[in-house]
Amino acid sequence: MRSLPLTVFVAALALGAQAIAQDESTPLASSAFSSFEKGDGILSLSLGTVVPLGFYNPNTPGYERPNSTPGFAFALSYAGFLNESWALAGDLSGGYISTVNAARLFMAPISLRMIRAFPLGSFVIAPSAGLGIAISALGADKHVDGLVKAGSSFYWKASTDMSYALNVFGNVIPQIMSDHPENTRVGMFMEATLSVAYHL
Amino acid sequence: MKALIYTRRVLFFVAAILTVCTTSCSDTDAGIFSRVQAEKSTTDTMTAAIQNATPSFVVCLGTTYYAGIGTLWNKTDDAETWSIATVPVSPDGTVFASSGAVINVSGTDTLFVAFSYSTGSSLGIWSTINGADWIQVDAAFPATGYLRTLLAANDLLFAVTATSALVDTVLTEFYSIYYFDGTSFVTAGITDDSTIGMPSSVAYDNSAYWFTAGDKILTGVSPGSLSEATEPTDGSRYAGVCAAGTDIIISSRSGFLYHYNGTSWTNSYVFASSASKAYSLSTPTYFELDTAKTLLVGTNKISLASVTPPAYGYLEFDLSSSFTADIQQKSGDTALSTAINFASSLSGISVNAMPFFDSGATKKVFALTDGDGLWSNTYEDDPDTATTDLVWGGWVRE
Repeated sequence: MRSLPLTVFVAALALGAQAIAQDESTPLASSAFSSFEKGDGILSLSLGTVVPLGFYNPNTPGYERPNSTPGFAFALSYAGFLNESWALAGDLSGGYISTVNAARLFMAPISLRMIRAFPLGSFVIAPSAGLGIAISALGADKHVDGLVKAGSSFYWKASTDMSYALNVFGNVIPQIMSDHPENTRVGMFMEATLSVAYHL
Repeated sequence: MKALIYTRRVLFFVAAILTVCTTSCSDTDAGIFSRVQAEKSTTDTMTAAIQNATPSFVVCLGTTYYAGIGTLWNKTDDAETWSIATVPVSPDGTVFASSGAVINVSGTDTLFVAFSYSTGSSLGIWSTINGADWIQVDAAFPATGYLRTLLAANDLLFAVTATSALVDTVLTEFYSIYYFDGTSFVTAGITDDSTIGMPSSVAYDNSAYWFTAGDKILTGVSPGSLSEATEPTDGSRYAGVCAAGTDIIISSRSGFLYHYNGTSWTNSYVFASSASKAYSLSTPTYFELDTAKTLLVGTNKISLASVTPPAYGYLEFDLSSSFTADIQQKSGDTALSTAINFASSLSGISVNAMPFFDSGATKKVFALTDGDGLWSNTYEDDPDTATTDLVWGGWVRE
């Protein structure tokens, strides 16, 4: 839990520093995206919320309510452009949700995504999909599972070097319990975050 | 060439992800998502004031439970929350209740509690038959030393006292054991003995009394003539004892269970964490319900030789079959709890004792933890079936 306020602090510093830098150099104003080129990169720091959507029980089979409450999410992402339209992104993210007994489920999805970028003036719509692993921890219990991640980022270019973005992603995590198959579940979560993105 | 290497790296990553997808690794039986989804609140009837307490004892007098949680608390069987109980001095809640026991005295169940002032000075041993009217028991006891604990077995109350003195510059405790003869405490045959450890529990196997006392086991057919028993091979660091019918089961701070069938000892293997660190076991609890024979042993974090052992919550054993050297603890869904209930309750918690009570209408097990409060599990009608099926309802916070 010590990492949570630290993460918020670092994020606040990053956002604040960027705003100050904007004030000192050029006013905060949108500028049009030029076409991306191979080798371009976007480094994003994101903060927001993770919403448990529910669990699929393959034994019943059927959908089960999440029985938990939304929590805090954060991520550090880097997208490297392969050409003007396609990029490959890596995400290091984490999030907390609370159970009915106020225990904290921590999840750390680590993923690799393919991004298709659609520049629209000062905006870029960047839908993406990818695979990864999700490390889950609840109390002393830990679990590592596969991850399917899909969603989109919506960038607004604030300057030549920086954008702000709204990100909405769905994470599907199949948690397969081979020794106790009755406890196998597929977890579905939605991340909604805001990013500050640096163009490298 | 670069593109080929890049493509290979991506393919390797994708293959690794697919491998993880199909071979998820885990250190939990419940599954984290299934646990979150199926978790039921364990705090609906919780008494917030004792949520982070370290109870020292729980006993049952009639249909009322009494707990030493700092001072003396009580709760009737049909109540939801605990209240501070009436104590011998006014106002209530101002004295500590360090140990307690209920025995039948001349046909009447009687609660005995050792009280002390907040300064640490002893208030003596008091008894009550109704929880309201207290009588001091043997006011002159102990004549020397100080009272350490009360223990009970076979409707007989024992008191452990200690004195301390420097022996070769080492502060050494000398233990004495007394039993209550209905009027006063008389010696049980152990007097100012520094070769034993602190007597921590007692059990009666229908023919003899058994005590665990550090690295020693004491026994005696008569409560007035205790002596050192023949110990299990390589046995040491005894934590507690319980009777299983006419057999005796002893737990150890080193992770062992020892079983005595009246003739010989059988040692279990070491019960240890997944990191191969031996558990420190609490006093065992044995009970029979219908056809089930259950043994419970808490695991605690009480340091041993400057090493803090891991806490698992508790270990549950089915003793329907005889005790063997390779006896295995139950895992997953057990008689007392589902894997999900265990994971969301006592898993990973330090448990010091697990007393079982059968008050006729209600059968209940408590778990006394280190700083995580008091938990209970009630044998009750299964709400998921239309017929009357008694099952353990799972662990909830008191």
